[in-house]
Amino acid sequence: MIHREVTCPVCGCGCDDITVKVDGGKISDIRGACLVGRAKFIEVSEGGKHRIRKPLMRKNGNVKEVSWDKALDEAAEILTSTKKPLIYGFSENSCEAVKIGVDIAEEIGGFIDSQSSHCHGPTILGEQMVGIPSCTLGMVANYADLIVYWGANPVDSHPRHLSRFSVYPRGLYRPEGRRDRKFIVIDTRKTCTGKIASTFIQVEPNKDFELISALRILVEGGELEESEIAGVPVKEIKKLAKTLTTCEYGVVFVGLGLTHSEGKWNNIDNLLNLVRSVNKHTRLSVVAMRGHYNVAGFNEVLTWRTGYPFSVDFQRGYPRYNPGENSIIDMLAKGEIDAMLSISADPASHFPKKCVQHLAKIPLISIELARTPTTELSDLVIPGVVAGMESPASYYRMDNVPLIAKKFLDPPFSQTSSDEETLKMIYQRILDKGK
Amino acid sequence: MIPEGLQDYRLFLGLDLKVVLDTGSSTRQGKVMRSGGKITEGEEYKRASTVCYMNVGDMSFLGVFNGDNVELSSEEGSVVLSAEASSSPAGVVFVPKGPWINSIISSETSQSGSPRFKGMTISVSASKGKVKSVDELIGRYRKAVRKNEK
Amino acid sequence: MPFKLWGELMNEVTLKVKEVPETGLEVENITPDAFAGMDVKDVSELIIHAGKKKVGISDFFRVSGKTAKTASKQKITIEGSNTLLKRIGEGMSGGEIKVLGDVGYHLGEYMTGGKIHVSGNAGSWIGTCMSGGEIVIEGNAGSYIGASSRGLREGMSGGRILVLNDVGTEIGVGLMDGEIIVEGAASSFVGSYMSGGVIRLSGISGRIGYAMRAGVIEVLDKSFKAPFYFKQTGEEGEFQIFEGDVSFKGRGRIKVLR
Repeated sequence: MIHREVTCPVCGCGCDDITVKVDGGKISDIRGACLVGRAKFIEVSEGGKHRIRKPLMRKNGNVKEVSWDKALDEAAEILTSTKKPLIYGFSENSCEAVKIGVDIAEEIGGFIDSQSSHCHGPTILGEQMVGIPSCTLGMVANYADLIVYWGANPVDSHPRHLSRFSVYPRGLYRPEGRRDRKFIVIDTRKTCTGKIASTFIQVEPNKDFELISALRILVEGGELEESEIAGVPVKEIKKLAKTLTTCEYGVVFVGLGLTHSEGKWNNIDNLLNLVRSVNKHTRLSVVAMRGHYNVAGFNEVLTWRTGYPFSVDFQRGYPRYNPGENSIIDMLAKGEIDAMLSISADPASHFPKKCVQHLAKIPLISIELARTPTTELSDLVIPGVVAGMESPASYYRMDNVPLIAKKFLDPPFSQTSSDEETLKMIYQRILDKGK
Repeated sequence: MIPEGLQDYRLFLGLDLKVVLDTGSSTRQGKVMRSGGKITEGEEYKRASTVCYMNVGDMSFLGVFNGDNVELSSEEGSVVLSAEASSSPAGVVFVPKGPWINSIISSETSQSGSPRFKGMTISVSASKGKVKSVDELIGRYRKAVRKNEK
Repeated sequence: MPFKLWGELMNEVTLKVKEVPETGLEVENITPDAFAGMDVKDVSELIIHAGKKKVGISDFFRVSGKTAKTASKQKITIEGSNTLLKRIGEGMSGGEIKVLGDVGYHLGEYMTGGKIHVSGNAGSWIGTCMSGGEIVIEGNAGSYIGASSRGLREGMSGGRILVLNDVGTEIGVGLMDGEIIVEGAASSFVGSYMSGGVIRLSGISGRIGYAMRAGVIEVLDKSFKAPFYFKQTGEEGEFQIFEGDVSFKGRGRIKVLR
């Protein structure tokens, strides 16, 4: 059977134009996905050869299969018997699952966080201070005549981004596609994206902040006395300022190059102020290159429920927010968490050493599709369901547009129909313990 | 091309270079990650994640060729990776994100929640060490816990 | 000692730390305002927070001494403090807190008067949005010193913070009025969004005066180079004067020792 307009549940592009052919409950053909997305479809399609199908428990170095009931009981026990438990992940899962995650975190008086706190958390911190003039990806494809990737390398991180949304698509007001657009990349090294840009600006590492301040001085009508700032000749900075202020509809895609380097959220704060200045001359928008297909969805759901986008602390019975204090990286590095549930995330691969050292010490539950460094450190592993393929999923794309991913396959086990349902079963057991 | 004798001499001198470390995504790594093979296809995950993309001049200075091993060190520790020439500017190296490079990344966030994944100054030097497998890396974390528990 | 203690005119309550649990303790009730007018017995039963649990002060502190009738006459000494003690002195309006040891985050936030003295190191978020009073840290302090809280542009509007050693990042963010003196060096982002007040440092290794609109930052380091978004305007005694943040049309001043 052929399923059209299926979603690829991987990166922030959230491509919903994929076509799959399903034969006998397995994917036999995929059209439209990039090579990274394709790998996820293939994982599910080849009988899911890497999939975890039964819950696993690790005790005294031995791993054994356990029943679903035992696993869910154990999860509830770990989360209710510890003093500072944390629920983490959700970036490649559904908004429905996030809702239950928030319920659980609130009930156990713990913390909830996602990949956003250490990826685009600084972007959100900047947005909270300055505000973000933005637009949808559809508007980019149809209106934009200037595309700037700052600290982002979509060819490696979001392979279909340029062809589907930004540089190559033929839009309503850009019928010539690439020829109607200027394409600029600003980065510390000439990445694959930088190599195909019309203009590549190489900035000194950790000095994007200075480049942004220089641009703003020029855009506000001031002058620069220096010959070079942040490793970029002032002549080039002047050209860039002119390009920004004379475009018709410009879009700056912000990547982790700005949020991870020195300055962190101040880089974004500065950039958003620059965009404000440019908006006195023309229309310039900013879109954050969210890395996972529903990391923005986590921010949305948590904000409806608590008023805060990530790093929420429920210890006092009401939500509190202070990134840097209650964010997962800081808390793990200081050894402040004493139990963790990780869902659709791989902290053991992606966190700095001190955090992983602490993760190895505490009771760790992971809800995962396949074995990862995190499952190898977990005390309890519960098989995950692919949200957006094996269960329907609401998600928010990188431009915060809400979309729905269809279900077109069944999970390779019958004990649960979705991660949302798995979390509901854990939540019910937690509530039962409270009675 | 560095004559073989001179390469050994450089290794003997133990030269090291201070560089700025950039970590991030790569499609090759993305592919194996998404296919669920981080452990079950550990060799491919390792091959995709343990490359240190360097500037050609920097590699020359250290006396390393494509495929030679290099050791990257910071205050957090050190890791052995495989060097590859790239369009990185002098003084900048790029390593795909993941447990190998994260073993030397600082967890310091300047109270922002986001650690120093990009922009750390580290040392690089030629190395005769071996690149660890993903099982060895994770096993090291587990062993440390068991040692402390005794 | 940076200031005189008028011990004989104040009543003192001493809190000796028995132990600090792994969860840490949030003790926003340890202020002269909360203790004044109470019995010492009632002070022992004031609520503090150990993670999820509400506990009494006496569960983790040995309480002794005399309470005063008003906050301005109340002194509190905390012995054996460490970095797991958070929110000491929140919102206090008078009196004194003397901490022997280190403190954690959120010291003296929103305070309007009184004095806090820490003999060891302090964490981050010190004197957030304070409008009066004085905080002295003898050791190092963390980040967000005399700064605004998350989501707020405006920060400290009065009072004084003195740190005898080094500090981290985000010092005096949104400073409107008041004084922040750091005898050691700061890391980065000093005086962002400042619109008044004075910051004095002996050195800085990162960015300064971002989006500064008014106010003064003194850098007592002859080798310091002002950033390009501050223009040199002249000299004043032993200082060179730079004005900026030019990209925000700001008239803040950075004074650098010549």
